[in-house]
Amino acid sequence: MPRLFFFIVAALLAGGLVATSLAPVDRAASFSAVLEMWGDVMRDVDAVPLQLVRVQEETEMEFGAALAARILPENTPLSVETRYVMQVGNQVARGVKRTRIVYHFRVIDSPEVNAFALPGGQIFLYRGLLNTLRDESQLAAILGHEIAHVDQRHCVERFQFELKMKELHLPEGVGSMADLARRMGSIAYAPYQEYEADAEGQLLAAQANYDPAGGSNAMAAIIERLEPATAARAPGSPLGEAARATAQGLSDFFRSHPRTDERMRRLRQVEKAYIAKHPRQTYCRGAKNLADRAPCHFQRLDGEMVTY
Amino acid sequence: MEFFFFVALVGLAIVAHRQRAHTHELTERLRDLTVRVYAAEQALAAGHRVVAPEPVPEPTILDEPPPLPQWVPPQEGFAPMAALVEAPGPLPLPPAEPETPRPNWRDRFQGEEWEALLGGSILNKLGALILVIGLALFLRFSLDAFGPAGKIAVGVVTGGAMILAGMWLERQPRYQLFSIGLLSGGWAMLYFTAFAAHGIPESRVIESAWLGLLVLLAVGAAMVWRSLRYESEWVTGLAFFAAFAALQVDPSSAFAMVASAGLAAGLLTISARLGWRMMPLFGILLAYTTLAFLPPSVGFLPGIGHPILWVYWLLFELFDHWRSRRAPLVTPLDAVQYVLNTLAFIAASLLTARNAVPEHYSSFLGLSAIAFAVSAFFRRHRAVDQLEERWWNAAGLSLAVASAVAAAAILLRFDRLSATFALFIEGQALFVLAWRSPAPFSRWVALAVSGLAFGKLLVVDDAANGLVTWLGYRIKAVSPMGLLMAIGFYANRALMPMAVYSWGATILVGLVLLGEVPQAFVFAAWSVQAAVLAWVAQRVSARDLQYQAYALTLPVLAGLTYTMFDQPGTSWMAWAIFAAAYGFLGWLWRRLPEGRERQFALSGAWYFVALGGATLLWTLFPGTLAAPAWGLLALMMVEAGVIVEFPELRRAGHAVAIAAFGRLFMSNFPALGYTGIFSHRLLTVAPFLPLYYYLWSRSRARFYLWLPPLLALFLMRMEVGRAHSGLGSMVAGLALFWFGLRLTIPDLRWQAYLLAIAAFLRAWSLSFSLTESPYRLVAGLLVVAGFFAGHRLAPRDALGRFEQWARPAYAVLGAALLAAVLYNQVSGPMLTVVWSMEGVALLVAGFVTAERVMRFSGLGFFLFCILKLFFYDLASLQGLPRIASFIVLGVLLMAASWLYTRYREQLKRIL
Repeated sequence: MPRLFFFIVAALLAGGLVATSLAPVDRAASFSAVLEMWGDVMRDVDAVPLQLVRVQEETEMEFGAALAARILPENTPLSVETRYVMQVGNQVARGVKRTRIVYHFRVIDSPEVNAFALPGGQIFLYRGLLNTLRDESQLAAILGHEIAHVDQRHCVERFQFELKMKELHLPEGVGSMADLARRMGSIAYAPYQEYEADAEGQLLAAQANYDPAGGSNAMAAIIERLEPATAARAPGSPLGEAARATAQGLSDFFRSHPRTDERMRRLRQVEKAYIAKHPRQTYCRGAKNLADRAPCHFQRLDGEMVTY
Repeated sequence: MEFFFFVALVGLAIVAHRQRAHTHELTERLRDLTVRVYAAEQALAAGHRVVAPEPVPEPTILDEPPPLPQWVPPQEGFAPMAALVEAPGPLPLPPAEPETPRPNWRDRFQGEEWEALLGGSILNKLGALILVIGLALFLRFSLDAFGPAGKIAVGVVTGGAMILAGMWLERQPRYQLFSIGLLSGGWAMLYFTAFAAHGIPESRVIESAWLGLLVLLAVGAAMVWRSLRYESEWVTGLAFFAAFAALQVDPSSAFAMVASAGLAAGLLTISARLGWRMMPLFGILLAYTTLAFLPPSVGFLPGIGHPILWVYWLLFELFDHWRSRRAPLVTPLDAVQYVLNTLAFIAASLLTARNAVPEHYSSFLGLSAIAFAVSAFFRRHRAVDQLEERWWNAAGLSLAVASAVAAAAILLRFDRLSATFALFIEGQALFVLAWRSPAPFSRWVALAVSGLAFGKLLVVDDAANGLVTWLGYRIKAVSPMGLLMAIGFYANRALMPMAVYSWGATILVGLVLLGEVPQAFVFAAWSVQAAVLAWVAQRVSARDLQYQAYALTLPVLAGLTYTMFDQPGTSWMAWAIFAAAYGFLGWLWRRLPEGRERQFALSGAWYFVALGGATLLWTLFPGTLAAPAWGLLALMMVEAGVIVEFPELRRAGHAVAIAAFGRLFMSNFPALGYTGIFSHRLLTVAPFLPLYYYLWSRSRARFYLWLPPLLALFLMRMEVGRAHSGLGSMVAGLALFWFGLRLTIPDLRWQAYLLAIAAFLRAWSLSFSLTESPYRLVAGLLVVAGFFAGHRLAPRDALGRFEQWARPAYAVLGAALLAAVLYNQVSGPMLTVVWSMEGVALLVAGFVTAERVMRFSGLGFFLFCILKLFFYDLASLQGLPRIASFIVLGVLLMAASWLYTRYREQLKRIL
């Protein structure tokens, strides 16, 4: 019996080896899986107090509007870019789960390449990022990412303790301390919230009929602009590989955003899975739409559609 | 809101006290009957005739009473007259009753009486009480027609009538229980009326806050006086609760503060006189809570704190010192008082200092730490006199608290490395105290503070402090502090045999070398460190230093490999240093006994062979392919080692198996590739599950049993995502549990418990209401079902000391998760009703399946619903929904009580 068991195990190992080698093999080494599991644990632990201090959507929107007013006053005139981004964003936001949130989109006139979301549906995009993107599907993916942060409560959770303490008329210091403690724990899972927002944002954009490859293409455009490729030497030994993975893991642990190349890799998986599930569909890419500031759903241009 | 809570507690306390008295009385009667029956049995056995007396004739009125028959002692040969009733001879004494051992807490909770009392009697009272409150609310709803004086009059008349009726009924044994409800309700009504006379605008007839406070205190004092009649700690405690609550009318007034101190002193005096142990604890909670929610800055002196809180602290502290002089500390409860007093003092002080600046906090904490240390000093002397060495030794605990407060003051006062330095000094001072003191607890306190300094240096300071110039060199700012700390820790190790200090010092030295030495020389520097440690270890016979020298070999080898393969052009000097250091180490190891050296050499050689083989396979099978290749190598090496009986080969094989395990996390779990529909992750990780079970069967090394579930957990998470991995954990856990029971392997069962906890946390955190996946709610409910399945699977007989809790834990977690599902699906006033229905369902299930833990869970739900009712629904619900919550819950409680009464006989048989 033990001998039979031995051969079965050997056959399974050899079979797995052979089957895996039939397709291109992933050579990247990192402890991202361990960090992701640790992030899960911290999210599970954080979820308990966060559920207890959940705030209503109306409170969240009021708070978000107050924060947004500090960045851009409400009476700031809407630029052409802002109107364009609003139209695209509202189209993408149609697939959200928290339908009571009303989304507002603004473009900040700055060359910085970035976008961010505040609680209550306040989405901000920098002009520098708008100029970096190449087509409207990439813009839709970026907006979808920020909308997903709001939809999945990532934004409001950062302020929930403070908001709840205010609601209960308790000292703000207590809420700030609780938020601080929560933030120390959220270091573990903040990057995974980015992955989740990437995935959901891509799905929202695809459901709004934008090219599912928009997200990964946006990451590629950002990498090209901000992170010129540097060829890293391949490790010369398994210990060297382990040392590099450990060092990278330690560095990744303290990042609030994961590495862009890893985000692109995961977005490609999401893209493939979506296309496989929805074959023979036509999507808008919209390079000219972006240049003309005319959204796809208003103006379908020849050569801007793609079918998978 | 406090009124209703108070009513419930008063009733509960009086009922508990009465039941205890009643039980005691019954026990006495039973004892008396036992003696009498025994006497009768003895008399029968000895042949004494026990003749029933003849009926006594009707007395006739005579001038003189007839002479009483006299008993004449029998004379020899003379038959005695038959008596009307033969007087029995002297009865032998019944055998001494075996002393009934005083039931411990576990026995008390095993008996039918406790559960039947709770279910049959207390639930009934609570249900009636809540129902009455609901009806009272309904009445109040319709009392809007009355003015303030009318409302007060209704309250006074109702409360007074209930008290008088209760006092009258109390005299008759039949109605004693019923009278309890009336008395508690009556006092509560009077108290509430006194409060309402000033505290509620709609019924305000007393305008002056002082007069209102006086009236309330008078009612409270009357309750305390009346409660002493029962000689019950709980009842008097609740009366004091009412008195302290009265101060909430205007807690910031000088009178209230003085009165609170007086109340505290009175409470302690009564406790001292009657020998009560719980009352001082309760008093601490009452006193500090009263003042904790003062408006900001009322009475708080910057840097010193609130004077009245210091008075409280001194009162309770002096009481504790006085009491422990009279009697030694015998229970943890006595030590808890000091800790509770201190923590409550700190918490209340911080809450009253809401607008203070950080410097005031640190000064206050520093002053408090000094006070606590002085108190600890006095406790220390007493502890030595009383020869106490228990972990809850008051001296040790007080020192721990003083140290913790001092550490907090340091962290608030200083920043960056200054704070670390101050913490280090505190740790060293505590260490010197521990070195001179016979009590062992203080050395752990010193270790904790030193550990805090160590952790802060590594985790916080290293990243935050940058570079400095020292003696012309640019070095990391943390390095001098690290070296100083290392010197201190080595000195501590020299004075006391606590290896943890030397380990900490070695880690610090190693990290300083890593930070300051050029990268190409790091492994050489560590080699020198290992050589020095090994030399010192042999000189002073310190095994911990020797182990550290061995442990340093691993990073040296890692650094060597990394440098050799990844950093070409390493300096020859580094190689020379490394060779010299390991040559010296080799010379030291040669001086070890023969057997150990030989084994070490052989094992080292085979490990080197295994490392070479694994490296070769890594070059041939890169990326995700390396791990299964290593798995095959490990399998071959272990099997060969078993067949040819070569333990070193087997051990090397196990090392490769462990390396493969680590590689899976680095290379295979993050992999995203697919072959067909199967992920590379699944293809390469899944074969390792049977591999490690096979290696366990070959080696019986327990750790192999733990690797497959860990791999399975990761695999599930990566394959099916966060939302569904909870269900997977539950299913895997149930399978492991079943196997663990069938094969009698405790490790499998413990893995099942851990997986169940993981499934619980995952299901709880996903909250069921978010719709990331449409099947999330179904998956959550399946997890709930899994818990109850685990409960049914677990045997009733105890599997072990800790595993006996598995069966009830499964049921409790399942019930809690079900409550979470209901919480997320139902909201508003219906939630209390739905949860209490879950309580009834658990009770019924508990009766049907004869499961006590289910019945307790049901009772627990009722208790929670009651608390929710008083602390949440009362505040958030208005009008008819609130009334409905009370009435429905009251009816359900009484229904549950009926269940206990109706099935009492079955309950007895079950138990």
